[in-house]
Amino acid sequence: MSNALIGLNQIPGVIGSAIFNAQDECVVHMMPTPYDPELLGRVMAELRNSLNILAYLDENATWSAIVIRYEGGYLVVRSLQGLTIVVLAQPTLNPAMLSVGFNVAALKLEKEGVPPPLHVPLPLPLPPPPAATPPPAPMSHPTPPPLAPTQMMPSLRSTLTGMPAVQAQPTSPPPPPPTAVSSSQNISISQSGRIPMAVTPISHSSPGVAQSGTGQIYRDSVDSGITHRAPDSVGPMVMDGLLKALARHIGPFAKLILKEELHKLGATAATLGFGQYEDFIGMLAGRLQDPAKRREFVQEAERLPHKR
Amino acid sequence: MKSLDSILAIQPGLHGAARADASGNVLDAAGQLDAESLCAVAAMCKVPLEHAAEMLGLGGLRDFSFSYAQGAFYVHHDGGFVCVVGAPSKSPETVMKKIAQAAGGDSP
Repeated sequence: MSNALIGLNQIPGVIGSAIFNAQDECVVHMMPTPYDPELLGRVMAELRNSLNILAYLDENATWSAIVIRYEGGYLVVRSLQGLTIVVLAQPTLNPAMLSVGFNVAALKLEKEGVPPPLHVPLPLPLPPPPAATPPPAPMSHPTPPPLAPTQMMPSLRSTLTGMPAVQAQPTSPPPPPPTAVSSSQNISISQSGRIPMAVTPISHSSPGVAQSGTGQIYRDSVDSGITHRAPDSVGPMVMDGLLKALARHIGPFAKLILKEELHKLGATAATLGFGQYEDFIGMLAGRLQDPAKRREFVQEAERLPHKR
Repeated sequence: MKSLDSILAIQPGLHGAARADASGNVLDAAGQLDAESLCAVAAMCKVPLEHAAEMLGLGGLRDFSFSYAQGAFYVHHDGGFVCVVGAPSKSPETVMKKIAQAAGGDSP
């Protein structure tokens, strides 16, 4: 396993690399300080958030590569044999070289197994201590133990010279469970079911209104030839009105939300009936975090059928 | 700034492009794509990717791409952003670079 990372780290411009298993646990890394496994795990969670959002485009698609270019460098992620390899690189990275490096890493991974995750499972609870001793800290608020020195790379220079990757030691103290450190989880809205993620309402502080989408969601559904307007369907005027009303509160993402909630009802914009309308409004309203906005949206939505 | 049609011409296999403001509102589109969905997704993806950058100290987001077996999705940020969809590429970094140069003269 480590051989794969050694090869990647020798590519000019690469700062470090790490491998995550299917549960997004860091199993091995060759990153300089301060890029420790916990930080990498949090970064991986953010990447997973973006993949969840992307699932809106095609929930059956399986990603193979993510390349992100920032002002200060690259974050390149590849899916290889059920593992995820993350490479952190400087802006001077030669991407073509890295592509070759990933191919070589894939071959090396084929020969090597998957090591256990760096995060050692929490030990079983200890029996109650004697009365004289102070009670242990509650499990719900564990104190983050310092990472064992052997889990960190000592310096960037040593990493670039191909120092062996570091793996978990059996005696390593258990690190704290990963915690959300950023607000992006509050706007992650995946319901694809492929990736575990809490479903949360969307909150936009200053959403824009979708400018060119009016009626498109209905036309998408009708023009595809897959569905036709049902006799008791609410019709395009109502669907357009709903889209506009929702977009006023959550911006351009309204169309995707509308599609997603329709899918949950087993309906399309062309087939949503009056019998489903109330449920549908409730589902859409549930995606709005602000109670005032929710109320406003519901009132507007309830007026729409009468405008047909 | 080149037109979206000319951006689509920079690389074989690109079949749709859209320009949007920072909130994801579509300003212009060309080719075959669901511009609104793509731009909305691109706008939303920006948030976690920026959080990742904060944690790693990588600075502002310039471009990103997602590759699938069936295709690829490229986004170049320039205040707003340009989304491009196309066939899968063995070197998404190269396509990103070309799109960045074509979209805003931003040479990586």
